[in-house]
Amino acid sequence: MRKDFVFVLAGMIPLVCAQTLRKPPPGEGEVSDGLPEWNDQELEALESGEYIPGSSLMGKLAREILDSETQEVIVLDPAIQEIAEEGPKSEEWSKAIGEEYFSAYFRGGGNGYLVDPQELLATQEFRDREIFLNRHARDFIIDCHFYLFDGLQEIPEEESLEALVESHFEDDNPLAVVFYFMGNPRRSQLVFSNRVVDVVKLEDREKVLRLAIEDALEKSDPASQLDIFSIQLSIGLVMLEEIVTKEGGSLLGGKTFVMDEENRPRPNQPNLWDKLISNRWVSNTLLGIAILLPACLLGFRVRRIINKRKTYVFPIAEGSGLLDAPHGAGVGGVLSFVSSTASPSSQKQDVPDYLQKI
Amino acid sequence: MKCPRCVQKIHLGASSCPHCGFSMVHADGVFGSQDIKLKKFSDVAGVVRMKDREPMRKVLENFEAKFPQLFVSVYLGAFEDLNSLRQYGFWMLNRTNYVDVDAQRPNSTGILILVDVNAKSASITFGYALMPYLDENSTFEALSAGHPFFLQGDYLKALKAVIEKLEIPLVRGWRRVRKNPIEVLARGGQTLKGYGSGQKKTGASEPSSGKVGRGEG
Repeated sequence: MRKDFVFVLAGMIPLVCAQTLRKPPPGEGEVSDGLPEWNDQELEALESGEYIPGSSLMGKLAREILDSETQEVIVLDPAIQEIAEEGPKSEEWSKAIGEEYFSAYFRGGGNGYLVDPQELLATQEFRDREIFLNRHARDFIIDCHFYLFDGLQEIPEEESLEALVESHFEDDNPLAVVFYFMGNPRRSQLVFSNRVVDVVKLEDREKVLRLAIEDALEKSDPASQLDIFSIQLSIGLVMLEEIVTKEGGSLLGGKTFVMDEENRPRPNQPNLWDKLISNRWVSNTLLGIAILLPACLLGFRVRRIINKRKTYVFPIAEGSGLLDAPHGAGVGGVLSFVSSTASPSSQKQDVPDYLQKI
Repeated sequence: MKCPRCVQKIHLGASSCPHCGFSMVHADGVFGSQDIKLKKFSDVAGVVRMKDREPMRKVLENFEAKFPQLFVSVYLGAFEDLNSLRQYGFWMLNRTNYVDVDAQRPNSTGILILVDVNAKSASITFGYALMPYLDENSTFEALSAGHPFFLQGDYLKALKAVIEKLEIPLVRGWRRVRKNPIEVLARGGQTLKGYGSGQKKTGASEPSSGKVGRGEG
């Protein structure tokens, strides 16, 4: 049964192929494949423009639009056009800090390491930064306080960061206070307490702020800028601590190490030279040294010249007959100068010749 | 003192090495028993430039002026197969007649600086008169002073440095021997001339003329 089916199928395949490959003879109509067919009348109507393809699908409206000579332009509602883009009402609006925030900013009303009474940061962003600054304060010596302002806001003339640090922070605490302007890190201000100023060079302090601003500017988003700024500032403060420690100073009190001491004027301190000159004994001693030293040098020089010309005559001795040698058997050192890297003492030949041969 | 062949310590009065039996006879057997004539500065290897020879001679003369009884001779050789620089130096000091050294300075008052240019090694041998003042260490230190110049092939500077360094133990020895001549000379196996007849001389400033002739032991 199965063999019979195979034979029947094998016989049908050539027939099917022949039917498929057969081309209709010229003049013979195409075999219908189920698609709509054009008749001659429709073709004439299409060529004359009476028939529009797709009109049956697009309906009456499309028919009217297509039949019309001019196409209608869709125009926005004039009422909508009149709505202006919302923006700052004036330049002063963005620069001024509301007086209601003054107490939080400049009267010590703000608590914590991050002061943002204007709520420039979203709640989550504020929490993240606050947590970071708290951790920094817990782990390191120099605390860091941030006061956030809008990018274009101006600090009132009667207020300043220095005044804020002097009035509301204790000098004994090592800390850094920053006025940070959101979206505009270049305007950032940084002031250290006197404890830090006493032990850290100005250039190092400036470098901390500069590096923080440079890193912050690599970001475009104001919140990200603040993140990077605070992180870089934290790193910079840690570096300052390391510098002070390396130089033998301390930020925690006790021994005060003053690096800028050389540059500080000392108007009332008398000069060491003046002190010495004023002492009669010291001045006489210095005078004596000034006379004696050249004399000693001269004497030393003369003695050297005399010694150079000096002759050394040894006592007359009677020799020995060591090794039956008539004149001498004083065998001294033997030095090899083969290696330029080895020391002379390592190139001393102090073994018998027969061992050298071995 | 050490034996030139086995480099073992030997007694100052030993006529041959108690360890290896070496003596002058053995050296003569190796290098010849005939005396040779040389100048106190001999550049057989030809490594010193002509313009450096005069300064070299000056260095040797300065030494002689400073130490009127002593002299330094320099031999720069390029030996093909020299078994022992020590033995050759020992033999050379005893078998050489220095034609440009006056008779008042016998070989027993001489210091021979022997340099083998091929093997790149240098040695110092000295006569009996210098045994109280020089030893292996002091001579090696002197050679070490010239080591950097030897390496560069600047033999004039090297020899100058060696000779200047040799002067230090000699001057030091001169000071010692002025204070206690008998003891110091005894360390080198020497006796003060005339001491046995009851005379005690410090001799620190005595000239040595005619005291020890050339060829005398």
